[in-house]
Amino acid sequence: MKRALVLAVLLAPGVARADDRAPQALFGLRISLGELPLAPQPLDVGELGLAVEHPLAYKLRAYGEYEFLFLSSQGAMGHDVGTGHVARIGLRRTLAAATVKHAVRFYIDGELGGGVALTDDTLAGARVLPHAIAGLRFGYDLVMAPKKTFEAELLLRAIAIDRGVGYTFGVGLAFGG
Amino acid sequence: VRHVIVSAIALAALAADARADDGDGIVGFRRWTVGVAILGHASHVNGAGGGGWGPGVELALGARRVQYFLEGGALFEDGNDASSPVMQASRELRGGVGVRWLARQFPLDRAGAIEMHLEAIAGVERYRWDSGAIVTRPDIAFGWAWQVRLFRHRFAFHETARVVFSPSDTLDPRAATSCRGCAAATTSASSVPSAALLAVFGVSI
Repeated sequence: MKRALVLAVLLAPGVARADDRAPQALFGLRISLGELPLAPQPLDVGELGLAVEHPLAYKLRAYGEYEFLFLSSQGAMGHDVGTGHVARIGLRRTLAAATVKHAVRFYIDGELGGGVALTDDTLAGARVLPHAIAGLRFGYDLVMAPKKTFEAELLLRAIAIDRGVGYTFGVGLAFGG
Repeated sequence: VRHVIVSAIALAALAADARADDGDGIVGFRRWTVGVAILGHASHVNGAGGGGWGPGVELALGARRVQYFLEGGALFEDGNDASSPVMQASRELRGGVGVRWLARQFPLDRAGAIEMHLEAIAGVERYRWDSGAIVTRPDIAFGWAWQVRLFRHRFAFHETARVVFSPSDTLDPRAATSCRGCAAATTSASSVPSAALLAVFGVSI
């Protein structure tokens, strides 16, 4: 059920930044689904998150984020097994970008980061999980407001923890100005 | 819950210099709005998972970038999805009072805007199973939303995701009679966190 709800939320968003504008601090939200090797069998993960980003240099931004985790076991008889909290920081850099007709800017960003997750589940109890991430973001801005930023993006991430590597994918929206 | 509150405070502090300026073109909430929505809920009762869909309504009072609201809804829980073979079907009524903050706004010319909201709600949920058993419990929720608002038409569409906390792991003997295998589920799930997901897809005028 949670997976269906998260997918439903994933299917909606869309829109927004101009190349000429000064980089702005951003505040946004995101929702993701994925799989992590938290138990002998991988667990499904649903994430609801908030993020802040600050420009550091041309094409380079630092970000910090908080995510609430829903953990579920896999399979036809899978069931909810726990929850968690994630705090993470990282850097993202634009790898490629193109502005179409001075109206829409499309971009591909790469990111590296790391953080700590506090999880509590029925399989292993409470755990502290340091982790590292590497990912790509595919998104676009609309160039409509000179002092505002709105970004919509698709996030693909590989997440490394002590038991192996998992992944998440999701959407993010970020506002600036 | 403590971690969520602490994290929310930390994020608010971190976001301080990125906060939108009231004097920089932010169009605040209208004084009164009413809304209808489709609610989707996935939660635990007595350690067993369940979920369902149903209609919801909302009455909101706006004050610039803050909105206070009353809400209610009815959800029809299948109680028998892959995550929970033990629960019978049920109907859930819920109501709550909350506060919403217009955290960000991106203007779409003068016609409207895309917005980001953060919200907190305190409420009550009441389950009634087919057997007649009833469970009533309080909850609190924290959520975020994005909304497209059309100023001229006074119309808005929003999509909200909430994390809902409730004391779901205390076995009510009356509920056990409606929940096949609930005792086993409760025993094995004594540490299942009582967090649920509530999605809201709604329109308001």
